[in-house]
Amino acid sequence: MQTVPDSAGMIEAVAEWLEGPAGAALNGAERYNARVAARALRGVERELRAGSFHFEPDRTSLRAFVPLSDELDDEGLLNAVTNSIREGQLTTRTEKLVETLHEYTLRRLLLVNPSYPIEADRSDATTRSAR
Amino acid sequence: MNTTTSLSDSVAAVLNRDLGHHMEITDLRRLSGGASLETWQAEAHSDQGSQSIIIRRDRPGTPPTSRRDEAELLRVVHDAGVPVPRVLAEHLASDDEPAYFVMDFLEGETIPRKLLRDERFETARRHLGPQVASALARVHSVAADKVGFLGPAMTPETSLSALATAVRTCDVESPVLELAIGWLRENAPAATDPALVHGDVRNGNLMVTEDGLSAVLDWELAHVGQPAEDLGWFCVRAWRFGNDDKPAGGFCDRAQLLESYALAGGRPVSEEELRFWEMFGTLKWAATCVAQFDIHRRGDVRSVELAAIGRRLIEAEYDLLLLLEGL
Repeated sequence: MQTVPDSAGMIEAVAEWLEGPAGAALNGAERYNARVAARALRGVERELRAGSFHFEPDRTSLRAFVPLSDELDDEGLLNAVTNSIREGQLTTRTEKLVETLHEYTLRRLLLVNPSYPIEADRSDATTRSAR
Repeated sequence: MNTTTSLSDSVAAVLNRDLGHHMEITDLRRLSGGASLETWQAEAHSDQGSQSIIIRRDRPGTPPTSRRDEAELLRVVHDAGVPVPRVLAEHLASDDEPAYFVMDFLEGETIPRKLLRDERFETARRHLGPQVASALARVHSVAADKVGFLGPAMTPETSLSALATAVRTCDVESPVLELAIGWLRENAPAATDPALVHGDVRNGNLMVTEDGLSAVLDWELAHVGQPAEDLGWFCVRAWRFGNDDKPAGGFCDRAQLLESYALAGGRPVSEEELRFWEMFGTLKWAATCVAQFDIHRRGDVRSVELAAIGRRLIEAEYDLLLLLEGL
């Protein structure tokens, strides 16, 4: 079954409306809020277009830090990693942990707010998954 | 009588009482209103002349907060040489009027992007780093016992333990925040002499003219604790607004900030100590993002802006990783 427009397409339409006529019709604080809302929707649109498979490399690399994690869903996997850090089994000295979390966080950030990362992480974005 | 007339009359009476000359208040208008606090501006006229004033008032109907402490704090730091508006008069809560105080209106710009980009602030930008360092040295010259009403002194350990509790009760599972807590536990510096800490000195809370810093604003997070906390918070990446080549507030580099601070009489702070408090500040910003979203989630104030600040948690997580990697 197919819905047209799809979720990302509908979000895109609302974001365009906020960036255009709706925002222009507002003043002061509400105009600012319309800009904030449009920016947030653009992030959601990019997340929807990227889809869940986009984070497959992170699932693979994060699983390496947690034993018996093959059956865990995303939330379970994050909980397991977080708990291992809280309990001191994983630390900043654990090999590859900080790098792995950097890759994962950057991949999400590039969808939510692509202009935020430092320059090296922005220009490297296309080749990043190969690193 | 409507609110504006009644507040005008009350302000005129309070100024008359505290300054000793007859005042007339005109052009009273509300500038902003938070959940518990309102800010008003007005013109005050007497036979001595006219001036603009600012009124900071508890919002009617909300439980009284501490406008009295805020006014007292402004007096103390003004005496210590910190650039702040001068408190002119004060009203304690009464049946028909919530607590408020009156202060000087100061000219200036506070919008971060204007301060970092506009050509007319080019001179100001060159001076702001050292000027903020010097203002902070004066803030930290205020001994803990002069501001006892702000509560007990925080050490690196008690600050971290309060922040860790805030992070862990905010209902997000984040390996990065947990990793930062672990790093901070391992790298906490020894406690130094406690002093007054502003708690929120950053671009956005600085009043700036074309010549530079004219006032340090927003003292609501002031507490007694570790002076280096203010320096670290000023360096948090979120307040650089893209000026990554100038880590100290977007205005200068860290070494310059520390040097200016020590030159102005602040106790010398090492780069390691600064790194701890910058990590601490970044983690605090992460917790703040979630706390802002929570105000919306709980339904206290439904707001798209608060919801969107919640989404900025990912930025703070990324910044924590940069710090952990020494980038």
